[in-house]
Amino acid sequence: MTVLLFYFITYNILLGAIIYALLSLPKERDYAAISKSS
Amino acid sequence: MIFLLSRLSIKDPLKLFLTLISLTRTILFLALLSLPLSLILSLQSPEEVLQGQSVLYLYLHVPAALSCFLLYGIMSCGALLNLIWRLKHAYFLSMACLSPCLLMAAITLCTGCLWGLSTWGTYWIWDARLTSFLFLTLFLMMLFILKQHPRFQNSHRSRQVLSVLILVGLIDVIFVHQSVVWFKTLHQPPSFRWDSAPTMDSEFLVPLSLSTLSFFASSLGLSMKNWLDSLLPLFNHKRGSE
Repeated sequence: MTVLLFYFITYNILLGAIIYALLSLPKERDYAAISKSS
Repeated sequence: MIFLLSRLSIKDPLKLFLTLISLTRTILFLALLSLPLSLILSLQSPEEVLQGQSVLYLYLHVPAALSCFLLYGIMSCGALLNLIWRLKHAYFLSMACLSPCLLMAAITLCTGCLWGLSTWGTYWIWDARLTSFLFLTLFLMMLFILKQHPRFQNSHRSRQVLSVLILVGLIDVIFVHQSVVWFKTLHQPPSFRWDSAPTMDSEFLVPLSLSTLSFFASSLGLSMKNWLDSLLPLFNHKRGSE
């Protein structure tokens, strides 16, 4: 049972961190404007 | 990665920055898809004859330990590049790997203790592998705390000091890896060896390989996201001056 609890904790942390990272990635379109102007 | 780093300081950094954003997104999506798949395969794998359900720790412990080694390898390359060619971005890369590396070390240590309790009958033993890995985790914690300290923010000297410390820690990583070979330990020999084919049955090998890949993708994706965050001010400054 402990092992399943540990799976739950680990995968929650990893999936949570990945989803957060994906949502907070910088958007290419915000920076593409600089390359066009320069 | 080293090629990318050298390009970053020479030619069109913005183009490379945009490429890094798409690469990070791809790796993170790969991690997002492979993690649930590896979870399903791990939970469906059969029980081991001697260990029973405790064999499930294998699919967390080994991938986390390998990811920790991989990230420490990248950190060391970044520290070396910073020391030799004073590449600031390489230093940022090694600092970006620090927190995912610490997370992987913590997962390895916790799962190792719990696995030890169910198979050896004890949480802890002052074994060469376990002690050196505990030292590595404490060393990573020390680096993490040092990185947060105001005196270690963005000065050339602090970057050099942290890079030297990372390279000193590499000795311990090599020691952790080789401890099961050099010493007679309670810990089992490495699950994956470069010089021979795995002896593990495919019923365990397939979920283990997939979990390892998903952990690699997660830790690399998170490190690259941290790296992009540390590069952002450079480009935000340009955006501000538009």
